[in-house]
Amino acid sequence: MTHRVSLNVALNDGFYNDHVVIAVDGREVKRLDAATTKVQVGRAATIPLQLEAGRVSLTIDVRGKPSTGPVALDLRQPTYVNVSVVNDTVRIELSDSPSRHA
Amino acid sequence: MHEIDSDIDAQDMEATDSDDTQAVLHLARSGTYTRLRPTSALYEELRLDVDGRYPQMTASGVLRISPSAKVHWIANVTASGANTYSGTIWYHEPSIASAAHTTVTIKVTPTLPALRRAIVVFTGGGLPPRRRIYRFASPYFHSVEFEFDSETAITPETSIDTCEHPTHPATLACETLSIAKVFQRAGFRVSSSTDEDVIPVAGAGPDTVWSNAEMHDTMQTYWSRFSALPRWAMWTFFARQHEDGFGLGGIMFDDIGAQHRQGTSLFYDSFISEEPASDPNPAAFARRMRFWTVVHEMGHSFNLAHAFQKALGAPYGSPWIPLADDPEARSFMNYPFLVAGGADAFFSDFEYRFSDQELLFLRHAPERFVQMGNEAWFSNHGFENLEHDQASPLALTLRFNRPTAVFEFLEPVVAELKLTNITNEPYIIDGNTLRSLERVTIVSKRERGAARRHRGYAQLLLRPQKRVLEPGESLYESVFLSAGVNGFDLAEPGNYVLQAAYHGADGTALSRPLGVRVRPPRNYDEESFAQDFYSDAVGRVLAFDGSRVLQGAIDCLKEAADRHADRAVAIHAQVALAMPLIKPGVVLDLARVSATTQQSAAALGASLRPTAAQLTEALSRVETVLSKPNEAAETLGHIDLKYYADKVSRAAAKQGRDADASALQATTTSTLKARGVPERILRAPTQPATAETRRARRAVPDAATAASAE
Repeated sequence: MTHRVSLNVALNDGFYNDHVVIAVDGREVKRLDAATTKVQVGRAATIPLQLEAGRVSLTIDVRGKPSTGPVALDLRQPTYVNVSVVNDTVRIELSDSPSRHA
Repeated sequence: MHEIDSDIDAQDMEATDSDDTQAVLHLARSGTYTRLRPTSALYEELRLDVDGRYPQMTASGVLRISPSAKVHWIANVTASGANTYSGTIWYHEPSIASAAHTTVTIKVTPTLPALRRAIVVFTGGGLPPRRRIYRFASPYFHSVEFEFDSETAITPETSIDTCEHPTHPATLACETLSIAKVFQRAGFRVSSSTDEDVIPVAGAGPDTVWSNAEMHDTMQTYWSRFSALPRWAMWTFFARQHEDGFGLGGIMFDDIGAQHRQGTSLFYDSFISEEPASDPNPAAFARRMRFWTVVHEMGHSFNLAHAFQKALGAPYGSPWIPLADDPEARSFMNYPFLVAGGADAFFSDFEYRFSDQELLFLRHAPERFVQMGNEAWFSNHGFENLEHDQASPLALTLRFNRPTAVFEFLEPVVAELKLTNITNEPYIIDGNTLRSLERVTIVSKRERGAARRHRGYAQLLLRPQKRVLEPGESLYESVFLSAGVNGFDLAEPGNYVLQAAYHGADGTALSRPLGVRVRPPRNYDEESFAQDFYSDAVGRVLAFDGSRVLQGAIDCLKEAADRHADRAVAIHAQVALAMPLIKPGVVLDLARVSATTQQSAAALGASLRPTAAQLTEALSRVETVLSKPNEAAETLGHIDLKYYADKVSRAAAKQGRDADASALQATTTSTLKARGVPERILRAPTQPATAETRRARRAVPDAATAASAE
């Protein structure tokens, strides 16, 4: 039986009407046309994914912003990917717990 | 002779806190003072903030210049004598030359509250002194009502034992602190609704987690005070979990619709309920986090931003005055887990309060910036920090179809937006971009006044329709700027600057600032009529092209059409009176309306009443409009004139009045042609509108030919 692991991508601060494409192993899994941060919680969107355990390559493209390139992940346990845009630069941080917002 | 104010409300004198008792009985000066009754056209307020809890040494108020002009002012003050405070006025909104005093002196008569007066003298600014006497009205600065509802199986916690957890300032008073008391100490007279509902989780849908839209629907259903109007009232929902999951502890979800900031929620099945195993009192830690969260979210409803984002501006909004980020603030509006040292450091120094910067805003900012349902979330000012993005593939033009942007007094202002592809490549865009205005901000600024963002009455949610704009091709749309949820922004005579910005995915396009002049009234008759004309109801009837039920506004527009027939306002009035008559309709008759509880229309004995078309009257009014076709085109704008003509023509043709329809088209076509509108656009039929609002009309098709005619 295939073991599946949750990968949660959170688009956090700095998004405004941004076109975002999320791909896993080169395959598009989510596209957002106008991702905009809700400043009251510092979050634009959360994208929960269920993937097979093991190595995956995660790509997050924000149109008009320099690409960070693929992020290599070895999924063994729930993983949280926090994405923010700071000074027109995409920043990706990994965590084993969800980022906290209120 | 001044009108006599009402007696001070006895409830204002109730003391729920020892400091407030002292404040009342020992002649504290702080609070609200008023001049005349609230119903008076010359009603004024003074807010003095010099003692009591967290004094800001600030005075503010609303000064009436005339029945239709008022200024909000704010001054820093210091004690300058016995019961006297003086200081510099640093804020005027708007700036009116005759009220641009620079200094204020306030002397408070040291008597019991019912007899207490504040004698205020405004000086400086090259103006003669202006003197006012205000009566003490309340030890609070504003009133607000809270209503708390909860999801089934959730027990709302609306108070906290401040010393239950051992980590707290040594000087912190050990008490049972309620949400109400927090906001009382911030300066609000708090009342709590007794209508507390337990809300079934079914409202969250099959997944049992709440989306923002579901909470907004629930708020409208269960909040006993829900209204599509600004109010000093808000709804707080204690729920299990948001659809965003465990990482979202709470949210001010109400940035939806026309009225923002009326609802907020927190989620018990989230990180705020985590009980750290290593903590000396894990359960108390969690209760403290939940209490912090609920007040934090409620603070957003008062339009407070996070402490670490005070300076955040465009494109999200802008601060009401220049503010600095304060990432270490010990305020409800900061995240405890983000400060240096984390939650322990935060709570060891936290006194369950808002910062001075936040109290200044809550107590003294213009009311509409703070009041729920009023100013949009995060929005107070205009484009102070916005610049046109040189990389933007689009250019935005804001213009009028007239040689000079001069408008008569009372004349509604209709502008035209044009969004052009300025690249050499085709550009894909949502064809509804200018219809919904979701990505467009329009700001008006009166000379020496503060910028105000245009906020229309309706927000359209439209399915995107991808469209290719060829190089040089444009989208066009008309926009009714005169009135919206802010009221009539362009009512006062004077000079304004208008500017628009389109916030696209590929950059921001900023229009050139456009100077607009509104002429003064011709005579006393116009000035007197303005008091009736500039009402919310009339604004809505004009914006939505008429009404079958708002009889007061209908009567006012009839007066405009009859008594001011030679003025541009009459043209707009005739259109608004004609449009509901061109076809049959249905009216919901509500015989009785309960002002305190929400009931279904059926329970209130409502009935649906059909209304017949009155095409003859409608055509008569339209003919009156087109008896001066150039004036009509100039004041309505080309897009709107064609729209109205096409709509009335279609209705006439459907009802067998072909000759009338043809005559209407002929007049409109010849008028617009003479004004330079290309033939191909005139021949193209206007698409039927999907909603009865000026902003629902589709853009003029075949815009390339229009561009070539520029």
